[in-house]
Amino acid sequence: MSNLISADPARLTPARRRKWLTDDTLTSLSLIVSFVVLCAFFASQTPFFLTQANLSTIASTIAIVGITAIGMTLVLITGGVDISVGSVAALSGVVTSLLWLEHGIPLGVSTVLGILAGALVGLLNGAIVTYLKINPLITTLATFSIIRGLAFVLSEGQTNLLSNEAFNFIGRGTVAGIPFSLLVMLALYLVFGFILRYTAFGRNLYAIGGSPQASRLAGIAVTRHLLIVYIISGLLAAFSGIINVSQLASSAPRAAVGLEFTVITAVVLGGTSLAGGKGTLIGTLIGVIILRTLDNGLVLMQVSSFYQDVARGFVLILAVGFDQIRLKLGQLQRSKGV
Amino acid sequence: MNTRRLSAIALGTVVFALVVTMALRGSAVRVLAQDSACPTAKDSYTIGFANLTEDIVFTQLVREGMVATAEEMGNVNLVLADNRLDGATALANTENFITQGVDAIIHFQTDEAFGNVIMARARAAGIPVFAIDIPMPGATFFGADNYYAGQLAGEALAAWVNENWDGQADAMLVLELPQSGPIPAARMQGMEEAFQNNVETPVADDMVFHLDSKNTQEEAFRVVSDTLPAIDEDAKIVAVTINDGTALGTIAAVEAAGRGDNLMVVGQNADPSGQEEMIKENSRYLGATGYFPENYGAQLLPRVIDVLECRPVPPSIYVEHVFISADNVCDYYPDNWPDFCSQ
Amino acid sequence: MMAENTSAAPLLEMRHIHKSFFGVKVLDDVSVSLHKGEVLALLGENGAGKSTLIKILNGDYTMDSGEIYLNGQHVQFHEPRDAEAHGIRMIYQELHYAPDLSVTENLLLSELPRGRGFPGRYIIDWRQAREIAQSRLKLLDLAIDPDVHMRDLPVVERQIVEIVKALSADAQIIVMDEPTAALTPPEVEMLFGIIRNLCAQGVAIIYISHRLDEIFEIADRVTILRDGQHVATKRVDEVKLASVVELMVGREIEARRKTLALTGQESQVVLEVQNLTKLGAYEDVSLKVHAGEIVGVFGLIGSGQLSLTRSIFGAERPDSGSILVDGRECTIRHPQDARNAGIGFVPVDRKVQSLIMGQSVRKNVTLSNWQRLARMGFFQQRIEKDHTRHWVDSLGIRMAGDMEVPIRFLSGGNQQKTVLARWLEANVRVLILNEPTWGVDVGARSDIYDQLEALAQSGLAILIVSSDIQEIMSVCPRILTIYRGRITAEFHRESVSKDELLAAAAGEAV
Repeated sequence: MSNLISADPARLTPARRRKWLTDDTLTSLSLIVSFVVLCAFFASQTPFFLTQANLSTIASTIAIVGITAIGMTLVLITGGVDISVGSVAALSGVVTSLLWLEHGIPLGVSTVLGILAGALVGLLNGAIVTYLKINPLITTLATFSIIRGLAFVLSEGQTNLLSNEAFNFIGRGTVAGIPFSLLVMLALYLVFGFILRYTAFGRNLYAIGGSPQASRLAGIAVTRHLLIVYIISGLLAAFSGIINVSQLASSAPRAAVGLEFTVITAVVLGGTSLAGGKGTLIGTLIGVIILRTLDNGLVLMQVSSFYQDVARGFVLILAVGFDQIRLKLGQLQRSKGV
Repeated sequence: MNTRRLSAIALGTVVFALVVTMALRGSAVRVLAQDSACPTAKDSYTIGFANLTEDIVFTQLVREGMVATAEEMGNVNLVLADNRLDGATALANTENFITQGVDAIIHFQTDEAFGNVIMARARAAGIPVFAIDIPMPGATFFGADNYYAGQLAGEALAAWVNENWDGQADAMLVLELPQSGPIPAARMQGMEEAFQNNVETPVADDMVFHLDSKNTQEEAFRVVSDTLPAIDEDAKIVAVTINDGTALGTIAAVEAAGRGDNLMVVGQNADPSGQEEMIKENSRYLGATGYFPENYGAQLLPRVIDVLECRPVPPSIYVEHVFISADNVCDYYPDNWPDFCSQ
Repeated sequence: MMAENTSAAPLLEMRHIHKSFFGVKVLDDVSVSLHKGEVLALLGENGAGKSTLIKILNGDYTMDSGEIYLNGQHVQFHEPRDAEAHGIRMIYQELHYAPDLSVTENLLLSELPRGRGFPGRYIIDWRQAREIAQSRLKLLDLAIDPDVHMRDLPVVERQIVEIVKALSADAQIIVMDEPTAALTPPEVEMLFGIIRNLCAQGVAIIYISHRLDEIFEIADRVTILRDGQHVATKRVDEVKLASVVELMVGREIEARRKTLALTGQESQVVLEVQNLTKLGAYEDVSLKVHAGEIVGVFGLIGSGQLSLTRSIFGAERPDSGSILVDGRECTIRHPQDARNAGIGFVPVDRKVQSLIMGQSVRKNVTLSNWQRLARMGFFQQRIEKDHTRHWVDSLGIRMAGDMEVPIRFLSGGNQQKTVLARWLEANVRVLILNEPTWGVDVGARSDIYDQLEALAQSGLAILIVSSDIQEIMSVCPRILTIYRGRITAEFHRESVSKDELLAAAAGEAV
């Protein structure tokens, strides 16, 4: 009776096996095309766009959004979201500067403690999401407000100037002409890209986002994974906050306002699904680069800042909308093939 | 003509009668007499103060100055509220003040659309209103003379360029705040026009870059970073900025690009972080126009009492602005920088 | 394919199971047994207690009293994990899988193979994972590519992957809840092939389905529950479909005493459907409903009738065919189009699909009928009240208070009448009702039937789709039967027996 199936293998999964040309790859490819089109457009509009000075400007100002976006990608893959990243970035800067300036703790130690403060917020987020079972959007919306308030309380609303050569190196230094922050960011992308692709931990994140029930039934420790993911998000956001402070040579409780939206925009642009279970870091990286390039080009073209906001929104809808249409078409073809 | 003379005579008679009765009846009658002349006059006053927000240093200083002045004056009981940068909250605060029976209201609120409603409520309750920095129809205005404040900074920057760069800068960055409407715009216009009018060689129009600072250091850093590639590597750059934070972001961006030596910046507010930047060695922050928010209370509260006691007060009272730089910061804020000022 | 060891000790025995919720008996002394390698169909109407029984077996619910024996041993399940440890697997109607992950990953969800040592033990051995997945698929002779994403598989193959997943860890018993609900006939055949294959390997299956014809094809025995009680357990080859239905429903099906002369055949055709086809749901359906006529479509649940009516109403898009109202072809892409063409639709689940439970009778009657209640663009509450009162009186809607009472306080029958009132208010020419008395108590039923007949007499064309044979026979003078998406026969009520109807609805040649 098993012949019933094996006799006609063609009935199962008809010829649409594409090993490398997956949806993810196609998304990345279409993003790269958009990026090239964008660059060509800017190059035609302003002679300064393709200069070495400008490219190094882009390279040296991309790390804050780029690094935060790694954590956000992980969180979105699990089907969650972390709105608190901007507040966390502000908090880590404030904590670091206060420990150093007012308590005389060595800057290196202060920096580590500042980043750990971010991890702590991540732990709090994760604990609320998993143990109290409060929706991640609501949870991080609450901590978004709490942490921002805490940054104001701790700093008493003051901007603090930090100038220290070693510390400034994090955000402004270069190694062989390449911005140090960019190198760190790329290294993090490699590490987390590897984790997502090749480790059980990484794959479990996709499973959790794809179907929490299936993951739980299969015995994946969902709670632990979510905790770790929110901690990573907090850690990376805090680290971005440190880079920010280093670049500005000052820390302010109002730092990184709106970072969460820029980051979510970049991540979604990179093909990560807000519904969870789908997304790649390479996509996120391209998304971050596109967004940064777009902002840079529009400033160089001296477009009014209000129109810059409009343009950013349009690019998001165009890119994601294009991807959705492509996916729909693909599904339509598949369903006809059956 | 006739009526004016008549009323003058009537007024004279009343005054004469008052003086006579006062002289005859002594102090007990004096209070009575004062009451009938100025119904709002009292021995002590309750004044409601609704601050713009408690989140920024500037407004915290305003509040602290108010509280200190009220304590000093002795006869003023201050009721505090926070408008949270929100018109609806300001209206709710107004209603609370009215319920609490305040004698006057000082509003520092941002939403012009709510100005009419707030004023209508206060007028109905017969309570005078003072508006800080953002005018409301019918309220006594108190606050910055924005264009003039801008001018001070622009002139100082022009003087510095005339002296150090042979009167010529190659590019000008204008870090403005379009989302907040006419007040910051007046400051920016004051700075830009005063610089161009006073510098020996004005910056060419196509080298003046108007950038939206969005009121944050990061955004200033980002837009300045993105603009620098369009400016020659060794060009001399001046920047006029809407506040100290924006100035810090601008300086950080230009320094990060290794072009700090060719930059000079002026700003507005001169808050502690700005002062700290000015007094640095070889600082690129020339200075900023001071608004002295800590003095708002000392300047405004006596005027509020004047109104309540029926003494004449002009419809607009302006803050005295001074351009603060490393040269005079010790005159105004010696306690902030003891090390620097003892040199 | 009947397992030869029926006489041997059963694999699973559930004895004297009792369960109440809030004092209502849901299971009353139910006993079920299951043998190695057999397919046991669990049958019963909605609310008969099937799913409660299954959830007790799975450890989701704890029973009030009773015992479960597995391989002769007394077992207790406190949570799903316990049941799983004993080799009991559930495949829910709603599948749980990660759509954007490959088949391999879904199969090995928590047990992806890894290397040794550090960092090897954190890193997945993809080659090995693929081999394991392939070997498991091979157990059932399946040719599914393990690298394909679940999203890209047809539904049946996703279901099969779920079955393979359930098998992966020594399953003894697999419970399948409506596994064919989303499948097309050839896919059902494929699934049955897998089930037979499993049984040959000694796995026992508990099979729940509303499609009775499937039961006769795949099951060895049937256990029938009704109102929480065990009614009968029989070998499939010993019973007839009609008697199974009777056991499920629990009463003789008697024709409605009233025989209306009205057939409406001679009057004008209001609704006509020509060759309507939607692949996988229904095929080549043609029917006519005249003014003043009530036509019934009878079929077992899942025969495509739901999709058919939804298509006529524009809630689903057919692949081909046409719909005519008053002889004119209508393009219906959206329920709005159907409304404008004069078609009204009363769905099965009125609570979700048509009523706003928290709002008043008045607002529910006039919902989406606001144009008629306005004068020069201004909404007139007085007219609204007048209209509502008219329908409340003429349909006999009994309310717990006045027409401002939220509709959730009304009984099922009166809620249904309110839905009717809304369509009458909208002046429709055709009314399509889907299971019109689902969840309506017996008294209100005949009330609704009377109303429908009165409405028909006033010239409305009515199409009733129902899986309740008693309902169909008592209210519809003309009856069409539908089986697997095709209209199989047409009868007049006076000249058909319920056996004939059932046979036609079960696909047996008439």
